[in-house]
Amino acid sequence: MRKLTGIFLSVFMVVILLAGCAGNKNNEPVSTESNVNPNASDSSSGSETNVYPEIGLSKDEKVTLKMGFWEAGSGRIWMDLAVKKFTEKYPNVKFDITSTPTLSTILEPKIAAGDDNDMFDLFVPNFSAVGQLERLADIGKLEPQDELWDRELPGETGKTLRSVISDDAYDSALSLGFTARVPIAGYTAGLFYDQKLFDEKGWNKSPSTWDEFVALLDQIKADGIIPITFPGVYAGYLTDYVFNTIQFSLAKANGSFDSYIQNFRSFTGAQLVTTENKDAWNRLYEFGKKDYFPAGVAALNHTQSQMQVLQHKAALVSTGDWVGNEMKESTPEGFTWGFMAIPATNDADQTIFVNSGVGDTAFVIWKNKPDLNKQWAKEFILSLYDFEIQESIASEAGAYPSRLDYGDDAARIAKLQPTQAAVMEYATKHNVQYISYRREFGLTSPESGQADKLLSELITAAATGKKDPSSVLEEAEKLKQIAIEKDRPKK
Amino acid sequence: MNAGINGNKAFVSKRQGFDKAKRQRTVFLFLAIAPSLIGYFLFTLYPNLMSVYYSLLNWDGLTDAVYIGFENYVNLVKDQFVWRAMYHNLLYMIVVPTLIVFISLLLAYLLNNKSYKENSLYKVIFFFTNVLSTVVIALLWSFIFDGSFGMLNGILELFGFNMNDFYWLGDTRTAFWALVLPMVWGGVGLYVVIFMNAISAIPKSIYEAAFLEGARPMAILFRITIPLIRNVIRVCIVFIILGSIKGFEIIMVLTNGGPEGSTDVIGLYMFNLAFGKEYHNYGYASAIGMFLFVVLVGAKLIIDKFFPEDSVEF
Repeated sequence: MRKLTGIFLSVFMVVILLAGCAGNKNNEPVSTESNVNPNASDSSSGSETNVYPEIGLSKDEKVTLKMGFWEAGSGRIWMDLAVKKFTEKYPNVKFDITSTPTLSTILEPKIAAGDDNDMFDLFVPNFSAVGQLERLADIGKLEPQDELWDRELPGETGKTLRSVISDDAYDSALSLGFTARVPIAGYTAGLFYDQKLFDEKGWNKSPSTWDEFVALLDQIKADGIIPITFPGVYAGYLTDYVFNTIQFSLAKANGSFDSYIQNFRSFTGAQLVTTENKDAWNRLYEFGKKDYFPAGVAALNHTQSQMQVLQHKAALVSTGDWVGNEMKESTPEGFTWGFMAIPATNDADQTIFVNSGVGDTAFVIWKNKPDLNKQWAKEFILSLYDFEIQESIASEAGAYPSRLDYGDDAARIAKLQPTQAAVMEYATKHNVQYISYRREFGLTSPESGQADKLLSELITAAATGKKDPSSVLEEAEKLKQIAIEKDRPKK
Repeated sequence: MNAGINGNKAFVSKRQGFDKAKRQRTVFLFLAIAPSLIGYFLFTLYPNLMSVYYSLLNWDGLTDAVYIGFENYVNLVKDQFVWRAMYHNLLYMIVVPTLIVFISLLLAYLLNNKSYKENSLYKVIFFFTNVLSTVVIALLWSFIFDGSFGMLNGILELFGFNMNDFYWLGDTRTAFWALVLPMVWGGVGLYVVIFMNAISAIPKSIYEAAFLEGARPMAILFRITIPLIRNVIRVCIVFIILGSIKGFEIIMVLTNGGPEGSTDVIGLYMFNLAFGKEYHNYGYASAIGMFLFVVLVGAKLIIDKFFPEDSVEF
């Protein structure tokens, strides 16, 4: 009997294991039963009378939308509010939300597995490497959302989505050749500081020219404080958010911005050894030689570098506007966030570029999903433009609401978190142009990885004044060009 | 005759019973090991074999893979970062196992031979690092090494050394060697326990005889204890060396290979190629994984050659 029990248990374990490993239905067509009520019929053939009149979708067909939500520093309060409002309005729709700060670690294996049933209906395109969204769009995995532009916003007759989105954000959304996502909120990045400290020290909070900016850093250093800090463990925070914008400012100043940005987006010419880019790197190197960055900056992580500013050991930190939300538990009383970008020339009226993006707060819809799910996903995305949700994005998530008319109401502006308010204030004083670093295709060849590694290691070496960037830029350029040649999509 | 027939029947019946029992035993053993065997095939062997195939592709993990033959391997040979990382691995492979084995042996010997009242407490304390996750260990040491408020600078200051906010992990001269400390600290606990158990298995009579012959503690350690637990030490060395080639978690958390690549190791380089922020190429990362596999097998063969297994009976 004991033997029989042993054999039975062993067989049972094997069956359980096999059952757990089964389920890869790569080659099967997507079942509409995966997250749609099996009793439901196609919306178009459903009852004509029992539909929501404003959207034409059935009230009877129960739908569960699987959502991948990237929580990040902005939290999920605003998303919970959005889901609550939407499900109250449309009770037949439910959400199955996977909310995590490390969404990319779930998303990428799901996509690689190729099981459409297991895939999210809609998700924040949070990937661990650049260029992944472009690749998914290229291979037709994402549902176009172009129709949303001409849709009226819920409860706002006559006001279309397009009418409340800036031209720049609209162009960005269409850069993939179609609208894979519409911008719900955005971020900005640059140098953040404590206004109170600047006031106390009498430092210039808003330098308008390069010389004024350098004079400010000299003064900070003379006062015994580190002028600029950044997380050297992830050194791209310094270049991506601050120094890489200089090349665009210089190109704008010399009248070649259009061709420069075209080359940047489509990899048509030199990428790293342009006069503008070399100039930007040399300025970083000069700052390094003048000890404008912490001596051991290579060892600092995000928290440590941001804490240096909160503790007034450093004056400016290179990071994104999420820093206010991210560090709110540690921010001392009286600390008031301020923002500045680098004015690259000595023309006080110059265009100052500020890095921005929309990728962190937008949803894409997986194309190979039941039509009904995709329709409801689009309705949900449209519902996120409700002012109550946009206010929550501003006040709870600490992000920039994407609606242009958000600022029409002073009460709404007051709900912006201090870091976003600081960026907005800076933009009112300077001729600011926001820029994202999107490219037309991503580079995956090993040479690109090696070039990026050279550059990544160069950042802390230059920022500590130990390495002249010129030769490294030349070497990295050669590798980049090989990668561009290999990876450029074949027509 | 009848007796003969009956005897044959009994023999045949007994043999059948024996065969049946043997068959049942085989089936039972197979079923007993089947879950783990299937798990091994599915989750270890299959992914590893797939890596061989991936290493021949240009594949970002999302879009269609492109077969490129041995191009990834050609790139690997030409890649300066691979060889720099391997050099760092080689240094860690020499330093870390040496320190871990030396310190573990010393502690195990002391705890076994000195009857401290707090012996059990020491065992728990030494083993404690082993129950901490690698990330926790790394974070603890990030606070110790911190330039502004780190414990290390604080202690040095007590002894009159003013380090002026020196960041141990932020300087190419110190970062590499600073990382040895958390690696050793996190690794010693397990081996102390293993060595203690191995030492305690040595019969007391051998020590008593040596003691009566007038052997000194150091002679006992090097002439009796170490030779008698030689095989255990050998296995531990294999584990530590292979672990130090593969492992990169502490480095990833503390320096991410910096400053300026001075702490980059092959596992971390491979990880960043596959899952890094700037770049995704599972194909190239898999090729490096294959290279790492060859290195690991090579290391094992070298250990076998220079440190052969030698059975000891007592």
